[in-house]
Amino acid sequence: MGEILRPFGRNRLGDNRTEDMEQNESHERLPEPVYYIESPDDESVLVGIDVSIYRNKSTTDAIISWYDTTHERTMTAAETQTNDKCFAFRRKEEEGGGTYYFEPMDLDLYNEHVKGKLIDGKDFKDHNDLIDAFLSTIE
Amino acid sequence: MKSYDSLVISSSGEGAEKPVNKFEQLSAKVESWKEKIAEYLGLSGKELTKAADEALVASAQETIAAADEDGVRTEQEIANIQEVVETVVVQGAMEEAGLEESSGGNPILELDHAKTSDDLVAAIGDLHAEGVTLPDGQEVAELAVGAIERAKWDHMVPLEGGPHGTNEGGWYQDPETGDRYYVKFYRNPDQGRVEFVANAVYEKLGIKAVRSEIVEIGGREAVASRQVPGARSSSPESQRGSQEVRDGFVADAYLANWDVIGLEYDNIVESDDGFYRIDNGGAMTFRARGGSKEFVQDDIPELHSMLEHGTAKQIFGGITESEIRVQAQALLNRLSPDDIEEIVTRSGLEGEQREKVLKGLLGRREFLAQLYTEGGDDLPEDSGDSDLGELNLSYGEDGEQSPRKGLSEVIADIRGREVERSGEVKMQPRAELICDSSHIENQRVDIVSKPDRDMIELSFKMRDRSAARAMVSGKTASGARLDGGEIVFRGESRSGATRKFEACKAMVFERDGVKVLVAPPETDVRAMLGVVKMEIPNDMPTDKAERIVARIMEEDFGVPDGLGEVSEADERAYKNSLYRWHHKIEEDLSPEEVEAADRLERMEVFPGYTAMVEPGKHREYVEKYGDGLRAIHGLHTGDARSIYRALTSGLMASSERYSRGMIREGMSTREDFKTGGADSVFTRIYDEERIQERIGSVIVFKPELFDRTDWYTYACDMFGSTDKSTFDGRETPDSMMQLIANSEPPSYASNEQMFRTGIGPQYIERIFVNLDERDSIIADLKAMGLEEFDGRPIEEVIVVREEDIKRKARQEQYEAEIAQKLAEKQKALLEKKQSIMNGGTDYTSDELLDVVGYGADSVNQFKAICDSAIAHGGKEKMTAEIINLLKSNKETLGKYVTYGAAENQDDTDFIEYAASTLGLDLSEIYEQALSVPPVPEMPDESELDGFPTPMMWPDSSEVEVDDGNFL
Repeated sequence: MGEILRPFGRNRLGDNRTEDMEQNESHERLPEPVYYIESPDDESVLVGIDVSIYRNKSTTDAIISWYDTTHERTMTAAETQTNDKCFAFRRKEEEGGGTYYFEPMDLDLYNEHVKGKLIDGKDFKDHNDLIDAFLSTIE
Repeated sequence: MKSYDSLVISSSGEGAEKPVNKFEQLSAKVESWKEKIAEYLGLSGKELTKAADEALVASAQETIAAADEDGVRTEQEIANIQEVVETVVVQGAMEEAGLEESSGGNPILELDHAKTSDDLVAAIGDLHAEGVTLPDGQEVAELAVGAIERAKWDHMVPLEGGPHGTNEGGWYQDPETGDRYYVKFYRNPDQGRVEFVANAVYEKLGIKAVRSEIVEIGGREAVASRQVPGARSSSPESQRGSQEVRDGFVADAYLANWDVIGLEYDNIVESDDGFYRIDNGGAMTFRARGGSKEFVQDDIPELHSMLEHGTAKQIFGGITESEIRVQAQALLNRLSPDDIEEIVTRSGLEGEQREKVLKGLLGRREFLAQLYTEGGDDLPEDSGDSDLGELNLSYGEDGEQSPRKGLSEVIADIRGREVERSGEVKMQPRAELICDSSHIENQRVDIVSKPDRDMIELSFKMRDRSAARAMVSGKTASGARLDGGEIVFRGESRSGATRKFEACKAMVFERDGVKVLVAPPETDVRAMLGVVKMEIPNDMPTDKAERIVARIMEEDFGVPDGLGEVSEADERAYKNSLYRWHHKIEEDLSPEEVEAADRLERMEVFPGYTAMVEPGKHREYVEKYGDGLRAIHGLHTGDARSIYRALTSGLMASSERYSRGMIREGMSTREDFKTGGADSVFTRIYDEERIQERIGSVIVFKPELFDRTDWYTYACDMFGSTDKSTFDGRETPDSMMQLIANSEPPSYASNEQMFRTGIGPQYIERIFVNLDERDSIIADLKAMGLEEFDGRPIEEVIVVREEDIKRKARQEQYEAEIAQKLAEKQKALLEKKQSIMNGGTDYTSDELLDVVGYGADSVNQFKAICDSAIAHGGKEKMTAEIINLLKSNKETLGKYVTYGAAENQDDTDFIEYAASTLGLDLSEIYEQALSVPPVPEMPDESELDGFPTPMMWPDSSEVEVDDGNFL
């Protein structure tokens, strides 16, 4: 397709999902299903499944939630930031503070940081099998 | 009054043995007085008592007067006053109790006057604080107060109005305090004493009833009941709808209080703080109008009859088996045989009446104990559906409370049980043994059957890890040798593969065929701190197993009688300690708190697991913080299968799941074992507004869940940590609810509560699911056989959030608006297109692109529009807009100019057509485009789509991270 008659970045007809909609809140999900989570301040985090961010327009805080293969975790973020595929947030000081980094799970991260901390982590040769195995914990 | 100054009274009786307690010390002084008076004045009997009373009182009065003469009391004077006044009180108490032949008056009353009453009160207080009792155990202070209380009736003023019932009597008022009492002079004084007993029993059980005392007015015995403040008559409807009224049914039946409601529903009144039972003279051996009745001693027929006849049927009809069981358990817990005896003694009943009442109350209590500890064959049938919405708690495998069995019986039972199933998930059966005094956490040993390993596993946690510390030396206290090992959980995955989880290292020894695993005393796996597991082979006889386990507990862990039944005293101490832990009370409990702790009851809160419960505590929370607060638990998938498991088996802690062989997959993390959270089910407390903001499936628990005392809470997600410094900073249940109730969402959205071991399905109130999934979930649940839950259709349990419905409505409205705007835009586009094609000049290059469209055929579309515009005289305008378009795509134009073609064929076709049709000099246009400064690029929307704008954040150089891949 040409570029002259299809300008990049221009609002198209019908592409109005953020227009005209009264929203006092928003729920967003990080794009990947499973993340490796690391925090220099909190040893209890490791894996995050279905990471979501809830914002209420009445406050600047964001509520970050995920499933860690055994429990739901929820933390209040004073600040959030994204960088390429990574996500990070700074936890509110009232909750103890700390910085949390989320990186999409892959085989390298799994083998190096995660496998040894699981109940009975096994080896995977395939990324999809790895992700499916984590997703099976939520059933 | 005679003067006794000439008498020399020694501090202790001459020749008497040295007294060993306060009572002996003081009564020895009384005896000294009496001996001297008898010797001096030759008196005996009542006269001697009277003289001694006068002497004691005079001595006290003179001592007080002498000390106050100079307006200052020295320490010695204070001590002297205390001694003489306490001596008077002891003498008065003995007369009150009938241990001393009374002279008609009581010396205590002689001191109950202006100049000496303060010292009298102080002396009674001291004697109470020191717990001084008569030889028969009656408390001196209580007798003294009783004597004073009874004496006040000499000053009571009768009010006009006369009796309000069958018996002679009426209202009296204390002229000093203004308090009013209803006094009844029964023809048979025993009926008044029985009424006293009934009211005292209600009070002991925590059921609101009038407070009565036996008094003497004008030489006649009567029963006086204090007026209930703000009392007003209550309708049958309000009584029937009052949980408070219904909660007293078993007590009413136990007391054979046939007329508890009254013929005109007038024996229950309503006050500002609830409903009170008044006029309880028709209880036990008496009918309301004074006739006698049989008070059956080995049965409580009223459990049936009161549900079948009269006004009681109207109020209590519909009460369920479960409610009756709960009330009976509460009665057994709160009213001991000793309590019964003490109350009957205080009433003054004597002879045959005393025997009938005492035996009846004791026998009926025993009947309840037998009924609720040996199966429920004789339970009254349900007399209707419960419409109270109260918890239907069950106890034991078949819904019946099991008798207290020893370990051998528990093992025998559990060996015979099959593996349990919830859906396709298998769970190894579990049971518990409540035992020990204070060595084992929660006074509980968990027992799990492991048929796959041909053994029974016992598990408990030692509160004191000193035995484990000593084992580090390599031997147990009995000399058994220790080897290294692991505590491993084993289970079966869905695919049938064996999974195992090594929870921690262990010290292992064996005695007489029982293998014992002990977690290291300082393990960093907090969920395993203090854990001891014992493996008993299935072929070991149960009685032998019990003996060996008891021996190991005593000899290797220092727990004598570890499997023995918990004594009342130990249970009381445990309740006290638990109450303090749960409510985070550091100082001594107040009397009200002691009472509350005493009311804790052990109940099954999860199949096979019991905990101490504070019945009705949730009502206090509701009253303080509103009815909207609930504990919730998010079900991550929330599909029908997980909902089915929750509704049939409840929710289980990680450690509970693993100990019962439910290790479905190996991909779960072990972090909660390290923090200690693995022992608990996690919930959050939300109000209705916060619940509505959640997405996904959410279990909402009934407020009765808060009655449990085996939970702790944090204001934010701490992963259930039991680390001391974290744990010390936890909230109390009250403070947590206050935070939620007094803040706006989303504050405290991450609060958490940890409920030990599991939450039974009986606590589930409703489950929220996504709007578009509800129908299929309900259909799947029905297909699995779950059509109703907790007596309600499943459709009432599986619900959607109002907010979801509103969101959907908003979304539908939004989409409708968009569709309309699209249609309007489409129409406007067509009109614009027509205008351009007709040679119109009112358009921009963007509008030209809009009408051309973005399909694959856009070049041909453009050609058609352009041709028509030119044919209608619009060439000049068209030329200008096309030049603008080309300049804004100078890169593409540049490539064409340089290489004779653009990268894309469509662009090449467009440029060539435009140039030839409109006569454009492309090189010139390109040069003009190059001379224009570049416009800053707009950010790519897709990169920002769904993500927040980066806020203030330190440079990556300022952020200390281990992994340089981040930020």
